[in-house]
Amino acid sequence: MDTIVGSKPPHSGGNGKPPGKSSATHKSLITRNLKLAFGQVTSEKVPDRWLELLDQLDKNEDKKQ
Amino acid sequence: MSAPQAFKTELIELLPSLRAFARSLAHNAAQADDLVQDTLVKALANVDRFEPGTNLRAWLFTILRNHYYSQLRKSKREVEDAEGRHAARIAVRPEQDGSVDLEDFKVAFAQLAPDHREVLTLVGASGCSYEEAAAICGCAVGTIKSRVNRARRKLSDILGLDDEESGGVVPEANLLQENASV
Repeated sequence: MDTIVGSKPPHSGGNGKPPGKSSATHKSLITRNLKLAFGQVTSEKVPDRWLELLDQLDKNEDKKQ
Repeated sequence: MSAPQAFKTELIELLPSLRAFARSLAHNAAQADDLVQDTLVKALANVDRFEPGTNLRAWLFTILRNHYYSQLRKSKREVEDAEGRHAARIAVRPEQDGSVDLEDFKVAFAQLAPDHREVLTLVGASGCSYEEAAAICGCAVGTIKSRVNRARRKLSDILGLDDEESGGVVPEANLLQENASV
């Protein structure tokens, strides 16, 4: 994995080329990585505090009845 | 199943994607989780306003988005957490074969403006239609489409992807990486 710290990427508008439309390959690459990253988060365990919060729905419903 | 029970069941199913959407906006995992927590509190306080049978995902995403931008306006700064500043200093470039390491991708993604991050997450990752994304973001479908295109171009630019490059294969090992921040 290569990263460059403190310098501009090699293709950030400074190469004389107009900012062309993303190619289908780039679109596919971006979509795939987006889904991978999204999937990582969605696979994390949901905090109990959120579920406890949602239990309030049941309590509110009980109060109404 | 009663209406409140069905609402709760669907809401629980949506929590992971709500969290991922929050993570794409907030960068920081703790801040994103707080954002989800606040969204749940608001949703529960306004549950009577939700019409059963309508799009709960869009409703929740809209609440979260509005809350995020409201907080952003109050703080008058764009994500000044340590991760964000660190990300802004790092430029990435693709591997020789045109593939992109997932962690590099996340660093590049974090450098996008919030409105670009949100449309890419909504349309590119969470499976929202352009129409649904437009409803969530409160703008026209055409605006979403052009914003997605601009966001992809910007991301390609940050990643240093050349037009001639091919590939896009993410190494299988990346699938096992953890602590994602979309």
